[in-house]
Amino acid sequence: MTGSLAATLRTAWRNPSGRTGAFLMIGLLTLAVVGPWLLPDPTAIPDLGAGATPPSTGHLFGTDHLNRDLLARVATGARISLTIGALSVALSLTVGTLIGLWAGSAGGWLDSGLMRLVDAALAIPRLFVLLLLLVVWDHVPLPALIAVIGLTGWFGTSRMVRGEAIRLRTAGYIQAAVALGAAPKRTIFRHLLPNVFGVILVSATLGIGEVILLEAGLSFLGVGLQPPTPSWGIMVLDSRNYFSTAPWTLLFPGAMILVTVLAVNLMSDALRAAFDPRSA
Amino acid sequence: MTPLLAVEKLKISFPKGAGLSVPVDGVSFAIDRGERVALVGESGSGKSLTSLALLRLVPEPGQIAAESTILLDGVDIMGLKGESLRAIRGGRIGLVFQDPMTSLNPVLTVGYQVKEAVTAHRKLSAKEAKERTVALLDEVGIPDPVARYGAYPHELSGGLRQRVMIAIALAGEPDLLVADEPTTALDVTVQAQILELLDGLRTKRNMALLLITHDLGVVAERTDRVMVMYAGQLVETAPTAALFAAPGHPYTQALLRSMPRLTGPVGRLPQIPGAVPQPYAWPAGCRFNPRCGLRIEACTSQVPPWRAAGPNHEAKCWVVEGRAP
Amino acid sequence: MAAWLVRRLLQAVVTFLAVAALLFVLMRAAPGNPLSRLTDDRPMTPAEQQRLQALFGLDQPVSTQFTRFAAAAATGDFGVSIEYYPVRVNTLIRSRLPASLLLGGTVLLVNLGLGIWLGVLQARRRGSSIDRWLTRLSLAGYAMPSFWLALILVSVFAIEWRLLPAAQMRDPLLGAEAGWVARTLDLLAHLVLPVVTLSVVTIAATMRYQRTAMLEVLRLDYILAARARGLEESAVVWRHAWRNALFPVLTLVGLMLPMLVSGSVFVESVFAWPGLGSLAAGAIAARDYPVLMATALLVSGAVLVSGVLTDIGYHVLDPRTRS
Repeated sequence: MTGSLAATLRTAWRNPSGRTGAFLMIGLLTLAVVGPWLLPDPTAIPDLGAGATPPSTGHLFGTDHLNRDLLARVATGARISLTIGALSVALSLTVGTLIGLWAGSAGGWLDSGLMRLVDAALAIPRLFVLLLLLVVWDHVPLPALIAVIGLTGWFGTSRMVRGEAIRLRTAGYIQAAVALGAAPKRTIFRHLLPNVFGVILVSATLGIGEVILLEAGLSFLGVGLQPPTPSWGIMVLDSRNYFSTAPWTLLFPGAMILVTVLAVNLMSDALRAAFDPRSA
Repeated sequence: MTPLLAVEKLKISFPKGAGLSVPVDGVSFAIDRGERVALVGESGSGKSLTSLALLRLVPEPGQIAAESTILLDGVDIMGLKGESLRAIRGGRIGLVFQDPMTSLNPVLTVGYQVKEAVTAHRKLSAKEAKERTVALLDEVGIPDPVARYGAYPHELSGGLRQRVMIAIALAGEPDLLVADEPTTALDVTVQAQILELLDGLRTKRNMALLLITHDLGVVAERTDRVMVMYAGQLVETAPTAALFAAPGHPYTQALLRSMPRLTGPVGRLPQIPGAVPQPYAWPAGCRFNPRCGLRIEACTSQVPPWRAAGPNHEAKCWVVEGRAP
Repeated sequence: MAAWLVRRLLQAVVTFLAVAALLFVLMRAAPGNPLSRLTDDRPMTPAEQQRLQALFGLDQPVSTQFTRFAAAAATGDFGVSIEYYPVRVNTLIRSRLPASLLLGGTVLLVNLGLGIWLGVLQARRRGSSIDRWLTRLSLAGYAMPSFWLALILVSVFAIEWRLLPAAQMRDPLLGAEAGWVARTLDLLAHLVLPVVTLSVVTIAATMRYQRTAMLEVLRLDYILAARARGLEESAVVWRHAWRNALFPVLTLVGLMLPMLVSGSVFVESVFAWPGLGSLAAGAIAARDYPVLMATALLVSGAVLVSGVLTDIGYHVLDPRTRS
């Protein structure tokens, strides 16, 4: 599997949609990394009286209602969104894999108890879980937000990994290895990762898109990050009262969310097709 | 007189990487009205694809070459589409599939599936259609057809399901019944009954029968003529008795040697050495030459011609002993 | 079948209890004071604060709080709303539920109807340009923040072109003397934009599931056999293939419910649709905990119920599981 991983990635790269997604993502990453250095301070208010000004050579994306440079805000927003997306998904996958492995290799009441809990957690929409956790929390720091989002996203992964672990535990070659004296958990773990790698990679890319949308949504609802942090969701919320006179203040931040999530989803789609050609 | 079915230069290809895979490569044969013909070959020889091509049902992305013709009563079905093609499928040519476990839709009752085959080819009232369906179920030997009408496929045994498949193939009153390994998936005891049934129905309805099989034993008593297929091509065609008495092609000879016999010494059956070649890399010259014990120089480079091996008996081989007709 | 159903229902009940426990843990784990919005605005004496705490039961030990909450979950009585004090949470939910059901039901119909049709179309034309473009468009919809799409639709269709109403469920100027035709038309006009928004952002999943399921079925032997008996293409596709490719889409309905509910929080609040979503969105600003808890529990219950219904649907539709 590891040998064919490079081949799978090549197949995904040959997929035009996947390549489009990858190019978009490279552009977004560049904007997120380099943008905040080159662009004006996203919180600076050069001329409050001027208000929102349309896109011009000085401000490529125009300025918002407080005359702040929109491109600079959008670039900082990209940095925030991508950071939250990448880190919280990494957290979800780690926790999900460990718990799934634990449940699957332990079996018995521990396994069924954990899975009942996972069933219950999956029944509550993630947005509501986050709302309940965050709504009474004034000024959530970014690391805490990442942790909270990451810790509410591992349920699906754990169930999948558990299924694979159970399949492996009963597989003949694992039982043979254990009979010959190999440590059961280590053996399962070693065989598990190559087996679930594809699915995990696909769900990780999908998960990043989901998390970016979720963070934007929370900010839009006034939960999580707070102004003047230039989160894309906050920017859409800010534009709410101005979008008929200054439509660019609505268009750009939302379009950034759309493009970013689309980019990861296109990549995820190409990966899925490469791992499972029959579904393409 | 034109034959019922005349296939000329049938060639089926699939894209394979940058090149082509050609599992059926230049097959020509004819079947007369009421004739019983067997098409024999190992799996991978292209015989199932040939049968699907008769209904233009070659699965995507496979393609039938433009030079191929399939004449049914002189009409080339390669030129048909839409309604006129639908009228052939099940209407002129009925197809019995290999595995009755997977060829019946699990969520529709067997009665329904027979009935839709009946009404696909003629307008009938609901009552007439049901009567006709029950009559068909009865004809193929399904006990208590009225009760079985509402049964789902999983509620029937393999033998009964294959009888249902035969009823479906008969529903359009076809002139040609194509049975593709109709007994391979069934218990040995049921196999003979199904073959018996097919034989009886053919006689009664005066249909032509194309029986596709890998089992020469099935062929011996139930067909008039045998066509042997190897690596996408026909290699021998002969009256059944002549083929068993004096097989011409070394491949046919090997096939017959590998057949279990009731008489004679008990021992290991000789196997044909090697495997069927792959359809994207057919051997040059005679396609059987890498496995052939009688190979000569010409076999490896030149495609052998058809040579007479007896009355109505031809083999595609350089070394076949030509017998005077 | 009966034994199976009982087991399945018991399992759902156990899961629901776990949901209630989880929600309670979440509420206790959240840092901060639910009453801070009430107490921040003006200075309060300790006595006043205590009275408030007692009013919402926050002065009790955790175990008592949990018992009360469990009792509330069991009886469906969630006490008093903080924002709309002294209106009871139940009253609020009851008054908001019909609008949410109307919106959610309409979206579900549009989503399934259109999504299934497009997914089947994609599977039939696998690899064609129409298949590729439908995939890209649906992915773009899936990537769209619903609140942003809602705001754009409002600015274009309601504010710029004045074709459709921007908010609410009814025209307040439409008097009581208006006939049912006028009222229905008015309701439909108000439904258009929220339904379009929610359908655009949720339809990708339906199309994807339907396309994949259909591709799986179309390559099976019995489809070939159905073609070989001369059936019309529409009969092959819909009667033979689609009936078998419907099962995976059924499971999707259960999975789609959380997505739909979360989407309605945003869409209802942008369109001021008087449903549970906008109630929850409003409860956020007021830190109206009882309302949030009650909606979360209600929604999770609905997810579990739809899971059970899906399983029953499987049993009814697939004759192999019936016997």
